[in-house]
Amino acid sequence: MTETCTTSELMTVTLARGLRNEEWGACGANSQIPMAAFQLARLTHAPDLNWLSGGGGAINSAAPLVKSTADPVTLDSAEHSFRLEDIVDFELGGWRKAPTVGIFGGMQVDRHGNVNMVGIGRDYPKLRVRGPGTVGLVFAAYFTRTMIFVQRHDKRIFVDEVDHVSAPGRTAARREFCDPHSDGPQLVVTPLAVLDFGDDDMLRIKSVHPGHTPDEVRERTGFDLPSSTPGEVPLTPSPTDEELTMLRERVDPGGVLRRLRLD
Amino acid sequence: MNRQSKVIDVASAADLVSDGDLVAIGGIHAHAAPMPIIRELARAGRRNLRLLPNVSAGLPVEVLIAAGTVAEVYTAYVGLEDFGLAPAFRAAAENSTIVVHDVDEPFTIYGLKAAAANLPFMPLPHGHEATGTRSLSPELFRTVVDPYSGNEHVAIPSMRPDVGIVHAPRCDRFGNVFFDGPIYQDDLILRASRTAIVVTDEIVPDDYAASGRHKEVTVPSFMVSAVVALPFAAHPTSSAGHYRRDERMLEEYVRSPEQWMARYVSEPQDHHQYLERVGVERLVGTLRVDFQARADRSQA
Repeated sequence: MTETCTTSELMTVTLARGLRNEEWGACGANSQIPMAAFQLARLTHAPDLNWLSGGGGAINSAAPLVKSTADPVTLDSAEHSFRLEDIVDFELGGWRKAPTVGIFGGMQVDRHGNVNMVGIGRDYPKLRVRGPGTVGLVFAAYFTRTMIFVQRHDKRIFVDEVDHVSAPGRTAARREFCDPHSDGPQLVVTPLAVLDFGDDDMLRIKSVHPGHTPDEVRERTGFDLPSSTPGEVPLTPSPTDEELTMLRERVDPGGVLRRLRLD
Repeated sequence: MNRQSKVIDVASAADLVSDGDLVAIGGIHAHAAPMPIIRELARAGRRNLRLLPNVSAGLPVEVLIAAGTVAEVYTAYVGLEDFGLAPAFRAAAENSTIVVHDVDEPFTIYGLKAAAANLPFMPLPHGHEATGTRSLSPELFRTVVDPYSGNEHVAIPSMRPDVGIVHAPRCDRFGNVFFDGPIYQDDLILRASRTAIVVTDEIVPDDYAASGRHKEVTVPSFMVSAVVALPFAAHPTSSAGHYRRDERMLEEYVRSPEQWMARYVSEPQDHHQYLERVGVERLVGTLRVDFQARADRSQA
């Protein structure tokens, strides 16, 4: 890669590479990075990937990236539009003909990949910080697999155990209640690093982004993070020239990603 | 005799909502919110409303809570998307001045779907049990035994709103609704609610629907009780095909919610005074004028 990319672009490319050609994908609100990842994957290695742009219902939108997932302009270049009823039927497992993948974030993520959006504090309903609510995170119990992204990496987000389980991670409850083909979270992409899961279903450091160190990632995480690979933690692979050109010229000509605030 | 028009003014529409009603609100995030009726309800000082908002509700719920009209919210999400947490909702929830029923998207959608189909409840496929949401609202997520397999499933009660209020870009005066953009859950809200109100930007001619456009009529007239027609009927949220969300208004709200509420909700006496306060420059700035540019690009 000759040009430098922003962290948001690196996160987008990382998620895009994690998407598979045969999959059907979905993201939620305030999800500029996943929206761009779905579009980029379709323009590179996954032309048959289908995707849903959040609550707006746009299927396979090729519209230039906007900030709001549900913006009606996402329908300008979409193949179809789902109503919420269609979305819930489909994401709960109805009429599926392909594996599904969800990409979402949250207020808290724990070592098993549980995600909380209800709020901070266990003494429910007396929460210290009232969050927006569970929104579509329940579908994490039904997707074939999921990927998590966060726009901030610190000990407030990465906690040992979430206060409320809005999206189940790799847990005993998942094994007991979910379809055996619903594997849960595979990857967590942050502004500092890429995390994956070990055989014990706990998070590990897979790679750190250029300019960051494993020590810094561990310092800003509320639980122990072993390395995925023996030896030195590798750097997150940079976008290729083709990926970056595609991303900037086709997916995000307006520079929504480049202006995104990450901490 | 002539067919009766359902078009009424915004104050009469707000009168259809009584204190204590369960009120469903359409749209999503900063898109397609029926804001003129929301502002009217806030000004009129309705009390103890129970809200069943759209699955990702923002500004309309904020305004009703900030105005003190709300007792309870059945919510999957109240927030301002890329503008962050919703301050009035957050304060009311943290100070327990409202009751928040934490639910999720299947609850809102299947609750409305059950009401629309006149079913007592809807069972869910297995998987929901792996979340913690049922433990937050155990009275709402109960369980039921499938009489065929004997398996136990989480269930969702029928949620029939007393009043459902949605925005649609176009409608005729009898209530045939054209959702030109995303439909969200607004078809379900109109089907499920005892009284269903549509706020629209544009009234199409009487013979428009029946001129080969039956497939574009997403909800038929007999499911709609009343129509309110006003310019910029969703502002500052978006109206598909008409105007984008007004991001400056949303920024202004987050910066100073109380001043915003005074300037845009309590002080203007009607929709036109509201539009005057917003100003021509800002309103015109939200208009979608890029259709021809897009058509040209796709032909190039």
